[in-house]
Amino acid sequence: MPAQTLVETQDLYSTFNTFEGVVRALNGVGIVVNQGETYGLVGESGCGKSVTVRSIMRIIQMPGRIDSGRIVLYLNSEDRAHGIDIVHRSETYMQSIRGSDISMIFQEPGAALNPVLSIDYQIGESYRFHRMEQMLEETLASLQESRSKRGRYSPARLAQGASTRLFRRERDALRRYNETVRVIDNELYLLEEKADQQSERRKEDLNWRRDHAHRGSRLVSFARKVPFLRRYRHRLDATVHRHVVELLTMLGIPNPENVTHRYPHELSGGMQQRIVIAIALACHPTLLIADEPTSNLDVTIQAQIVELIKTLKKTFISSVLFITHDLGLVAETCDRVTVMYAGDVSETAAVKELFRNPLHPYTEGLLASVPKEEQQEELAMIPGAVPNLIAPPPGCRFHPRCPHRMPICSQQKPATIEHSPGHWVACHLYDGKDAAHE
Amino acid sequence: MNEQLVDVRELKKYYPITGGVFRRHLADVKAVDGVDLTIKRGECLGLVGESGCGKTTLGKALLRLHNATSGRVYFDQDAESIKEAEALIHSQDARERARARGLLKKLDLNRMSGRDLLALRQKIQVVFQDPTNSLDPRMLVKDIVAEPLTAQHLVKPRDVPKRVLELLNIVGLTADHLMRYPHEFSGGQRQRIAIARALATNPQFILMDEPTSALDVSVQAQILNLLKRLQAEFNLTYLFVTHHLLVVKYISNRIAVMYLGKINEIGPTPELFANPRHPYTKALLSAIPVPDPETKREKIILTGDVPNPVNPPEGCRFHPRCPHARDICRTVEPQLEETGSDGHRVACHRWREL
Repeated sequence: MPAQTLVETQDLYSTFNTFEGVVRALNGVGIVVNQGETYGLVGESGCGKSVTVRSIMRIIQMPGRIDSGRIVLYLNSEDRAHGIDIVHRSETYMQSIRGSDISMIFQEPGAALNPVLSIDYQIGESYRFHRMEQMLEETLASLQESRSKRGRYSPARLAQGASTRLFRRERDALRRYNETVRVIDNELYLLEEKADQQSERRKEDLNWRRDHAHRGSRLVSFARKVPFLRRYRHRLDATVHRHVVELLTMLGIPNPENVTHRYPHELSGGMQQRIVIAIALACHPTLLIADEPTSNLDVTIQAQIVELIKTLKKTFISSVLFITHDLGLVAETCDRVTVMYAGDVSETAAVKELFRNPLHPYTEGLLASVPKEEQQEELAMIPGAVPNLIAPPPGCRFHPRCPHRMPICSQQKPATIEHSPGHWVACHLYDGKDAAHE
Repeated sequence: MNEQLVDVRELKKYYPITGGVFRRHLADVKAVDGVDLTIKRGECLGLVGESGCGKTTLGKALLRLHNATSGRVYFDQDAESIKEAEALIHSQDARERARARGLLKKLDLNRMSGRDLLALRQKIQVVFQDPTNSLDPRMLVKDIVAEPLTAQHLVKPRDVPKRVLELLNIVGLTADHLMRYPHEFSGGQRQRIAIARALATNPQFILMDEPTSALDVSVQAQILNLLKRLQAEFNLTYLFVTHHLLVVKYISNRIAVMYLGKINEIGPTPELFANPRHPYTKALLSAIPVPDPETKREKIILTGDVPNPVNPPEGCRFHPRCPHARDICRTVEPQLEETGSDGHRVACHRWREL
């Protein structure tokens, strides 16, 4: 069975406009993540690994931007004929996807968590944002259950009645909003393939309307701001809290009740990273992007976290996009790998194939320069350093450091070709004729 | 001449925690808590451990970048006088102990001062983890490398430029780089400058405090090879502090494993990797990600985190995370004991059974 694509980037160019010049961070990156696989993205620092996934999430910060290219998502691909190009979708659309369908674990858990908010709040935020309707439903159910037995006009009954009405109003407003958004998304999806002027204008209009659709009810937003009156929302907080504790228990965090009341600085690095993972997993994403999740952790803690992601992969999530610079981790966790160098994709292959038969000279050098377990002879090394991406070398960006340099390498960017089934490489060594010979 | 260049005895470094209005002394962070260590001339000793276990603190105490709380550090002293001082300091007689203190002012790096210390500092150098922070951004490369030379008055002022260029050539930089600032270099080149600066005083001993952890893999290989070459060329002794086990395996002759301020296990590199005795070392070794997808190994996944060094666990410090802990581990602290003749020592009650 051919693997189904989940996310695909096509010819992605991302740049950063700085005072020194334009940093060409991505130079036509094309990667494909399939459903159900663990996909590795390897490379040295500054090679564009993080920029690639940030482009996929569309969270590149100023002065960075996606210049051109397509990022195609195939979510719920059973009832979809083609994917959704998210580069030109509205910001609210991206917000509805981020954390819900695609979520991300960041490199430094200390920096990813907000120091002034409790763990409970930070994990609960995913539920409040993406699963609010469900939360309100459950809160209403719990209100129904715990109806006071006192008289009809007792303060307790009156308060319960009022909060029930407020919650209901909020839920209905949210439903209306979801319906509007669903209709807009559907129409946008149908317009996806069309590129004439009229549909372009229509798309623009729809995106604007999606961004500006009214989400709540006036009464509720008033009630939640007024002191004392807003205490009615404690019941909603309790519902969210229940879900948070459930999630932490599922992740195997000892003593979850206690952890939820703490603040990030009170937790160790490994525990912080687990909280970040919990936030990412709260809404059962289809794709989990792990951006160097273990690079600041100790070896034994790293082993714990990697094991956690592996087990979660089996039960929770469909695919994992794993970014790392540690080739050892890639060998242990990933199914397929892409090696990146200076904003270019050098090579893509199945893990075993890549380690056994590296084609690109950079991959070869990278594999040779890692100390092995039974390293006796001197370490091989790649001479030189990663180039400055403001003025990258012309042609193949690796050619100044490449041992197999040819005249063509400095003139022309090599095309990515399929050297053997599933093994893609971008190098002039394997261009046209050579590949045919083999 | 003593075969052991560095001889550390019962070294302790506590950082006090103070609080309240009068900055009352509340407790201590026991960063290094009783370490005995020797480093032979010309060897590279790898010091491995998780963050917060006291690796860097131990290294800094060896350089006297901070004063140790107690314990002795003998650097390049002859064996006889060390023996004498050690015998005196452990004697029952108060007068003899007072005499020992007098002796130690000449021998112990931690109690030395003035000219003796200055002379020793020449022989000890350091390369820090992040060259971005360890090089002064407002100094030119030529000044950075010349600073130890002028501070120690090692060469005549008019010979300094020649010597600086020589040092840069040794680490693979050229005269073009002299008049530049650190920010103009890549990480690997910056680390080369830091190494050149460390070599300036013709040291015998260099502390390498995670010199490659801020670098990329391909550059890391360059620096490791450079360090190996320099060690052979100048007959250097390294203390290589790192948490990357494969790097330490590549470069060092002996490895010491630290956990929570104590040394758990120490031994020759091949022996330690082949027969790890301490459960912590075993877990640490099994947790290394191997860059080879064909080999699948059984991993020992430790539960929990490193405990707080303010009040470390009773008995063996590793027992709350140890899969083989028994009652004795919870009460009695194990001492380092010899497992064979080749200097492989381990601090575990149950190493014989495991």
